[in-house]
Amino acid sequence: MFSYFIRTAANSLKHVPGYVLTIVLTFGLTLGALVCMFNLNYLLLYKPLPYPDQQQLYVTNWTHHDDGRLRFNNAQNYPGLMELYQQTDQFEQRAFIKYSEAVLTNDDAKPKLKANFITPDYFSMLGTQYVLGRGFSAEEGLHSKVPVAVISYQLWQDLYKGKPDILSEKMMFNGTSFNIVGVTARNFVEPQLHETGRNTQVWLPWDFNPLPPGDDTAWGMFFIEIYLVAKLNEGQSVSQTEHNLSTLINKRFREEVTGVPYFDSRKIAVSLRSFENVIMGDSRSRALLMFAGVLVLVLIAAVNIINLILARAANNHRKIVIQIALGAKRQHIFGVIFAEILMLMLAASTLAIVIAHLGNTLLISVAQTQLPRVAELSLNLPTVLFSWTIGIVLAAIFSLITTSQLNYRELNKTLQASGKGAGLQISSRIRNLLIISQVTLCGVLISCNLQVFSSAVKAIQAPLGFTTESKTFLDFDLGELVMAPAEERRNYIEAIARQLEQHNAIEKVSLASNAPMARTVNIEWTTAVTSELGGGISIGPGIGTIDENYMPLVGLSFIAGRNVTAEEVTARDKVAVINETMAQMLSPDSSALGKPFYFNNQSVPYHVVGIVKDLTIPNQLNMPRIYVPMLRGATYLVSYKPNQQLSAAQLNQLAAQVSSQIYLYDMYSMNDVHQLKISMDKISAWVTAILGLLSLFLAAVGVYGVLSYSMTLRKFELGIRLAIGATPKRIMTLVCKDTMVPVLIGLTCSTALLLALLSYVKNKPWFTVSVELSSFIIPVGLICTIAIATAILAVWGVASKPAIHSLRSN
Amino acid sequence: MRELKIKMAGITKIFSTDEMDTHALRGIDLEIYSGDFVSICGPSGCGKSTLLSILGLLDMPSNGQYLIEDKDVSRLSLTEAAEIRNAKIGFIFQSFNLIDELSVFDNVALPLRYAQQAPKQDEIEKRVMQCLEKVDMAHRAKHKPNQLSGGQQQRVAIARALIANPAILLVDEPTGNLDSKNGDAVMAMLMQLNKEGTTLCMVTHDPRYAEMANRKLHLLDGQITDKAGILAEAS
Ligand SMILES: Nc1ncnc2c1ncn2[C@@H]1O[C@H](COP(=O)(O)OP(=O)(O)OP(=O)(O)O)[C@@H](O)[C@H]1O
Ligand SMILES: [Mg+2]
Repeated sequence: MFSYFIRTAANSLKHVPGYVLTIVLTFGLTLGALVCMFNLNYLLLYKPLPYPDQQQLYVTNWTHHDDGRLRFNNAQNYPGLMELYQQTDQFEQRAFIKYSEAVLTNDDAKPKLKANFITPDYFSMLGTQYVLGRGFSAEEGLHSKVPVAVISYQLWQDLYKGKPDILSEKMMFNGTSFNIVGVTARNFVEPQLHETGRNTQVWLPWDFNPLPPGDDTAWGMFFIEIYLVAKLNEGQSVSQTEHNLSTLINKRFREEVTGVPYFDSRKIAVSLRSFENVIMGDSRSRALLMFAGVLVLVLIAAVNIINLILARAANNHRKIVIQIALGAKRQHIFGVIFAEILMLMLAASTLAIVIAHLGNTLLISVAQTQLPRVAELSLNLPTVLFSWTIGIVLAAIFSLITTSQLNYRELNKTLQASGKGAGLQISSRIRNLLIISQVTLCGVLISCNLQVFSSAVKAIQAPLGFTTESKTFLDFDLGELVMAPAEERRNYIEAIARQLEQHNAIEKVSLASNAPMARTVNIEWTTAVTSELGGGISIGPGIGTIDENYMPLVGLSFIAGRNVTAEEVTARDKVAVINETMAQMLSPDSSALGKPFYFNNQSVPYHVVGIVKDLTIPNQLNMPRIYVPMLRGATYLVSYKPNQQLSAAQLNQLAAQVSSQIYLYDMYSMNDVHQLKISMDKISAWVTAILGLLSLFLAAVGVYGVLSYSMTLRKFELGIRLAIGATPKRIMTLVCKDTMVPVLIGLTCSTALLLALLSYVKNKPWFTVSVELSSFIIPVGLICTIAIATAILAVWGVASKPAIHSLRSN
Repeated sequence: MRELKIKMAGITKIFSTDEMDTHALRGIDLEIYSGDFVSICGPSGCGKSTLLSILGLLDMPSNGQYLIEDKDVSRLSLTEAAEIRNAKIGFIFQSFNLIDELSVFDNVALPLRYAQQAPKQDEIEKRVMQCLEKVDMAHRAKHKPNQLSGGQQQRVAIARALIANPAILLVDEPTGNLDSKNGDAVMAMLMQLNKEGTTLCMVTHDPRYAEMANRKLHLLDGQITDKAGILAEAS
């Protein structure tokens, strides 16, 4: 029986290719987007991380409190982590990771690689597979000092062109030559614990982590790039372990920092964060939100399709009536209708799967730094089932709605009237309901999108307080020369500055420890300062060492006081320029100019000689900053002349003229950093703009569909009105008015929904969007305009022709 | 002297489609005076409805001149045509053509509401009730059209056609959807209206009803065949 239904349906669909195409395309595309989002959410919410016993994997995290007040999160020190590493009874396995970068010096291009320093358990804990070789053995563990390296599949392909004898290669980092002992498998997924989208290229033993002397024993220095990852014993209590570790760390910390007033009231809590939590961050709520947005889009499309299907049923009414006359029962009629809609929906679902696959590819290529685990995206059974289930369920719903419109008693009447009288009509209640739901959904979606769009655009356009144009930060590695006496090192650093200054592409050079805008969220380095010796107000500002050229080069304007002088830089005078925020904290009631502040462990204060304006870094709170005159390392801020720029190779040539030991370690332009910082906002702006316009378009098409169907039904009635003297304008006004009733109801519904939504999310900590009235008003204006435009378009066929046209066709 | 209400000279109507041109009217000359009761008959497809729709400004002629009460209405915008229809012309169609959603009262009141200077509500009420009384439907003012019989619906349509005191009442097959008893009643009503001074122009297939008119036109293939007779009567 069912195959008969299918054949009948296929036959009748052959005659309406436009109808088939519209439905399959509209629904296939929107459902495709939904399926893609489903795939993403499935990955982020349900799919376990690809590691054995992944639920037992944890990362340590230290939270710092002073007098119960949160100081900072996620910063640990070397000696403390080493203590934890020794607690073998607490862990089944554990490993260190330091996320770092290293320049490969035995390659001509001197590429900088993403390098991680680890201990051997790292690989076994993750169940790592290799295409070639092996991971680190126990003999290559802590303090063994065996120079071995494991590289990623991607690096093997990119840098070594997949050469088969890669295991005989050596890699030179920081003057040490490492033997490559392994290449990770192509499908190895590293846990991105430090930064989403950062793909490690080479793993080196922990022993070779290059640290300034003393850092590895300093209890008072904290770092954000070092981690202890651990696999807990099965069934082991997380909170008990956390408690044990916290007690241990606090005890050791107290012992080590006694007599440092700054740490007097410090409490450190060691928490264990699951891999899942660390890797996912807040991406899950973001992914869910995108799912919700696309879901509304699909609902709008679904309403459009109901309208098309109902209009088709109305057209087929006589055919259905004849079938009933020939003895077709209710379930037969349902069967025929269901078969037809099911075929359409299954075609759309299949198209959706293809679209979702394309969406995956797109996400993998553009969203790896915005969303975790994106590289693992692939079509899977749950996704395919999701798509088909949606298709089948909607087919059933659509068929039920359609058959519910068939009134069986009326059907017989229609037949008895031998074809005279009106056919099946979609009741005006259903038509209004269709419009109301279109408008409601569209209103909600546009409002939400506009809200996010405008805050994203604001972030993109927010002034930084300085121009990023043609400013680049350069970091040179002095190689062996680091070991040279201070005076000699200083000469090299200044010689590089002179080389740069003399180059005709460069306008200005400043010797500065930091760029005005750093690539990471945390700016440069920070330490505590106090307003009085060993007490008073305690502040944790960002610190930069600068020369006299820095302020003019960045273009920061002075609110009070003066810039540092060349003499102060040479003499390392204890003066400082601070920013507005710092000034406000240091001296809330009077000008901070001339005020002293003390570094931890120093009894001679610095004095404020100048106050500059704040920099505004996108998506970051203004933080206090101190600029002190001093030459520290071979780091430079340069501004190029218009349309000029130097490549890494050119800069390396300049450096080579000073010494063959020196090479460029890092370089980033302020423009690039700015773009990086607003990349998420840009993506939000694009996504919301596209989603908003798409929903507006779909709703417009949907409302037009309903209205043009209404016009076919009302044509004769409007013809009568014309005949008795209604002017075309009156007819248009009438239709617009009739249309506006459901539109306004829809808008009221959407506003109510939005207000309910708002009152629900208002106090949620993750809700950071500032709500704007315009995001409510603009959609109302847009939707009303579109409704009126579509109404006029729909009624045009009636109002623009002599009345007889409308009267005749009935 | 009877007033000249309608004058047509050389009116033609050509329907152009892709395949062919249909000459529905080929040079109609026609004069209708106040108080006339004109009937138009002829075989199916001869152009009766087309002529009536041009008379009623529902459609525009392809050529020729058309005057209503001395005003040239051969070339009008859609809006001007609507205004003149509203003020000067009343329609009665075969299929009653009442608007289902509106009550009998509102159906009848509609032409007044569309008037350029719409009367006040109490004036509208007075006139609608008067008209409904004339067709003996006042007691059904609050009903919806689908609650009425065919004959009753046609009487409501007549009331609506009369409400704006039109210069001429155009009637297309008023009895086509009615049984003979109801048809006779409607015709009697139209005769009565004509006696009271309403100018009527009616298309009908039924020779009995055609005979009731004081002037009978025969249309054949888009032309009036017995022109002589008309001219004789007109003079
Ligand atoms: N819109 C149109 N397009 C093309 N031809 C038309 C159109 N309307 C009418 N005709 C043609 O014009 C001619 C006159 O039609 P009309 O409807 O006036 O006839 P009628 O005399 O009223 O016929 P009946 O008695 O069957 O109602 C017919 O040949 C018809 O086919
Ligand atoms: Mg006709």
